[in-house]
Amino acid sequence: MAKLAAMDPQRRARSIRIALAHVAVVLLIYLAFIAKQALFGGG
Amino acid sequence: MSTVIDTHPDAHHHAGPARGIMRWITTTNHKDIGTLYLLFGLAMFFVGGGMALIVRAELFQPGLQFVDPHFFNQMTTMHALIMVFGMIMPVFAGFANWMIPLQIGAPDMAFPRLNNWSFWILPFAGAMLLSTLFMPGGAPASGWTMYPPLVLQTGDALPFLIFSVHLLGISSILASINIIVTILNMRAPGMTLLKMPLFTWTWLITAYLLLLAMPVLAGAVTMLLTDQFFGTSFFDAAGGGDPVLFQHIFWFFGHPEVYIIILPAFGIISQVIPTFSRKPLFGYAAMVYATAAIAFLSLIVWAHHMFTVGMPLAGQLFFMLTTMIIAVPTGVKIFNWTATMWRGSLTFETPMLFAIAFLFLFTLGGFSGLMMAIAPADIQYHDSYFIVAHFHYVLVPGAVFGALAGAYYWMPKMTGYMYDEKLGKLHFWLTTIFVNVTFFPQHFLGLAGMPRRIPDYALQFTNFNAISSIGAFGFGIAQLIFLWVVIKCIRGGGERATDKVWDEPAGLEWTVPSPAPYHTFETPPEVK
Repeated sequence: MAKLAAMDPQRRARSIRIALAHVAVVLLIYLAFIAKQALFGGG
Repeated sequence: MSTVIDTHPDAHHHAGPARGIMRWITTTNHKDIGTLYLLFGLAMFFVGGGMALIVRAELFQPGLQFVDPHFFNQMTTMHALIMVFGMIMPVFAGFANWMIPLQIGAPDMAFPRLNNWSFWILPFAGAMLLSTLFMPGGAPASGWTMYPPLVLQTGDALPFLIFSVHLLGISSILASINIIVTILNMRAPGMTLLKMPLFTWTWLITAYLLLLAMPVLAGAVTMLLTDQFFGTSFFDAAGGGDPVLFQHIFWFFGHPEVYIIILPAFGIISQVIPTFSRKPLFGYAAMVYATAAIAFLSLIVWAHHMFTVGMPLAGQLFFMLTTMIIAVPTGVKIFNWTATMWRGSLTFETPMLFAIAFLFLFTLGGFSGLMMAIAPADIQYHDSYFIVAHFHYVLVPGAVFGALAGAYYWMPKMTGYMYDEKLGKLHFWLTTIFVNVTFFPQHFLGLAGMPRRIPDYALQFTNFNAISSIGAFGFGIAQLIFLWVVIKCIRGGGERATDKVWDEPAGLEWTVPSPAPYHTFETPPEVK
């Protein structure tokens, strides 16, 4: 049944790119925050 | 006349569902997974509700009647965790699974296998959480906020609590990524973002909130784990840590969580009110922007939960003002819903009744929230029953009424049968009366000084507690009517639903037959 949504390989590739981009942005936000805390301290 | 015979070799892929239990375990169909979420949420509604009734039975009169104080604390904690993570979030995820692909004209979610996994993590996380009731030391009893150092006194249950929160978080994050990608990449041609139904819009914004907030909760509970078992002292003052740090991290998740719960309800109300007013939603774009503004503000108000920790005046002012600003976009929404009804051709079927009750009662909960936003006043309200009254007004006649409105609104489309309108109305009236009998007196209890999370209380609080407990049992019994309505609909006991179900409802979900076929929009619809 998964085949239905995955019919179009281009669309599927774009789906994966969008998902990975969101994960990457969230990770970057938190990494930036952790780096800021490590370099400049809390507060 | 000619007959078309489908000789396509892949025809079996488009067949109906598999039979038996394997259909539900291996399904990647968005409607099946939506149904699983909804049934799981309904089951947890009764489990969490049972715990609330134990709490209210104990509080019916002063003194200790039924349970010992430690078990009472376990019940308050588990009730909250189950209702937040096990009931209301899965229920809205169920509606999202069912309705988002239908509303945007997509054949399924973007990642159907991931969707299956998102759901099936849930029962295991829930079972792990519930299993703590049978462990030495009992279930977690420190409140759903899990504040250290108190939570570190939990017995064997602590790592199970933390791991179940991790699993629930993973499930939510996977589901939110799936929803974002589905909405951004699977819309039918012509379905621009600003043509999407409000329910899909509110879920898109909710999914972003989930993606930002859930990892923070996972981080916070992981730090609890390492503090307890691996010798760190993030939250231990003796080791150079700070227990208040946990409160900041927890509420950075916790306040967006409130909006994660309520925004999908806003979406449902934004669908129900126009349908039963027979008018388009007033101020569609303003509703979208107001939802986004609420979501943004929800990320910068977290410390209003912590006014009593002793923060600097500048901090109190910042969090007080940002919290009050939330009333502006929320006011826009309330105004627009009211304006939608203005001069509409109103009828009062059960979904509309729940939507109107939502409008009144959620606003009441919002107003008491504004009272708490005032830092000096909040120092009086903090940890009192006034808080319990406030958040139950927001979550029960708010989120739960939104979910019930959605259930009655879409049930004919899901099951193919109309629900019993008489029973629906009876359910509505009993629920609305008893929800107020339960929670309104709690305002007075809090203002009179009754603390929350206590199994016993001073004699002057007796009458309001008795009224509140009677209301809670009435509310609980009224929900059995809903259970019966759902069972009747699933078993096909009533009148058959038409494809449109209601008079001229807006949205692609009403263009497919009732019940919605197993596969829909295999050929994308054209949206004009």
